[in-house]
Amino acid sequence: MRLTIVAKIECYKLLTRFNIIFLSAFVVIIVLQVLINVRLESGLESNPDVPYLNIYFSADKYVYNIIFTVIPLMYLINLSREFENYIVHRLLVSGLSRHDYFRGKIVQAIYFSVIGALMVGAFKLLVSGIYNIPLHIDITRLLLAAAVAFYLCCFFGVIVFFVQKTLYSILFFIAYIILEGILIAYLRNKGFNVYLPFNTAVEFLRKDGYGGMQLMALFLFFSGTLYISWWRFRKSDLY
Amino acid sequence: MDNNSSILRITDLSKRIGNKTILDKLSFSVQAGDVVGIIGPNGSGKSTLLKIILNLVGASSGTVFISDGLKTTAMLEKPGFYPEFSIEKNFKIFLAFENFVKRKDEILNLFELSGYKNKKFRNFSTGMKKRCELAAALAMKPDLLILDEPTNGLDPQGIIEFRALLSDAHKAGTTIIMTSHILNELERLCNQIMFISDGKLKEYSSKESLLLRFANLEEAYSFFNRSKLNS
Repeated sequence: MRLTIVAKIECYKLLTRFNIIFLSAFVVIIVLQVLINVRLESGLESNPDVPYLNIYFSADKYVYNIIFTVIPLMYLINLSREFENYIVHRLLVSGLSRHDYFRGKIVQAIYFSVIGALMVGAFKLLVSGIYNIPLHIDITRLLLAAAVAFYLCCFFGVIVFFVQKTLYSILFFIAYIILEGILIAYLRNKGFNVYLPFNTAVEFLRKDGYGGMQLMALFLFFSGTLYISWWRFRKSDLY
Repeated sequence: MDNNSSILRITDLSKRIGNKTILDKLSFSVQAGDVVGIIGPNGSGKSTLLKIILNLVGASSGTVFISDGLKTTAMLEKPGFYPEFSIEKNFKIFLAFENFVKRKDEILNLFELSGYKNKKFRNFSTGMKKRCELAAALAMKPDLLILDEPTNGLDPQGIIEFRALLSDAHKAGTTIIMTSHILNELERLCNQIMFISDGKLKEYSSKESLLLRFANLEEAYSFFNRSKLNS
């Protein structure tokens, strides 16, 4: 019963002007990438008979950015704005316990990941329309996209529970992705095959086939960050 | 004071941040039906005390006992509403546990907000924002209502309306704890007065007993603040 009310509260919060503008801006960017870059990269310019799966493969590189960056960033901003605008304080004095609030944030991450997966599906439709090729939607892959988006929302959410400010959260998010990229390139260059939180999720969705080690690593990162987020939020002073 | 009938009991409550002591071993209790006014200079720890009672801030040591099942809510210094949402949508979120969707007309009419239900919160005047906050708090029919500087920014008409709403809530059985710098307002509303200075509890007694010793709360405030300056 309480969870149903918490889920309703999170649903009411979704339709903000910020979310609509933010998503629309990224949709425009990705549409442009699909229109211009995919044509060049898939070889359509020189060979009109390119297999249609190649076109989808080229488009995925841009479309999956919805899952890897747009959705986690939107979640991060929504969450940090709640701290910055004292929404958390008001919710906690309006009958919500900290536990309810935290569960609400997990529900919000689910909502965002579903939105992300639906957007990926919509882009497949768009690619099919633009390039006049058969529609190809792999439902399993869409479900995996939703799962990865959910994982990344929860993983990056930990930043907000520590810094509680929108600007700092965005900066930490960007810095983390860059630093992890540098680190993984360096380690792989040295011959180490390591699993790091962001990169593992990206490879999990981009590459065909995934190993047990990858799944295990993702599960550990997910449960670890979720626990740290809850530990931090439970103890934090909300002035 | 009879501790057994108290709905809120605070014992040796301290709050430290690093080397700084914000609250220093506060002990007091509040009885059902009390209206407690907390007075103290800026930075004396009043807001921190309220936030500890509300469990927004954790205590460094000491205990806060609140009666089982006591419905507590607050009107904080910062409103915490979604500025881009209408007041109706804000209430849907913050009064979700109070069945707002079914009680919508009752709540909006009671606080004379029906005509403004679609207006965005950011477009309200300070007085109307305060009215919305108080409405959100009182719609919960709380047993304990905590108010942090509730009349800040209100014009005289706003203060009169605020006082009437609060008086109705008190008559309905709500226990109130509030901070304010408007001493004559506290003198009108409260039956218990607490003085805090530098995180220490200087005085906690009934308004009647204070007014036997001092001409008014202003004089009492000067006395307790002077003793702070002398110490």
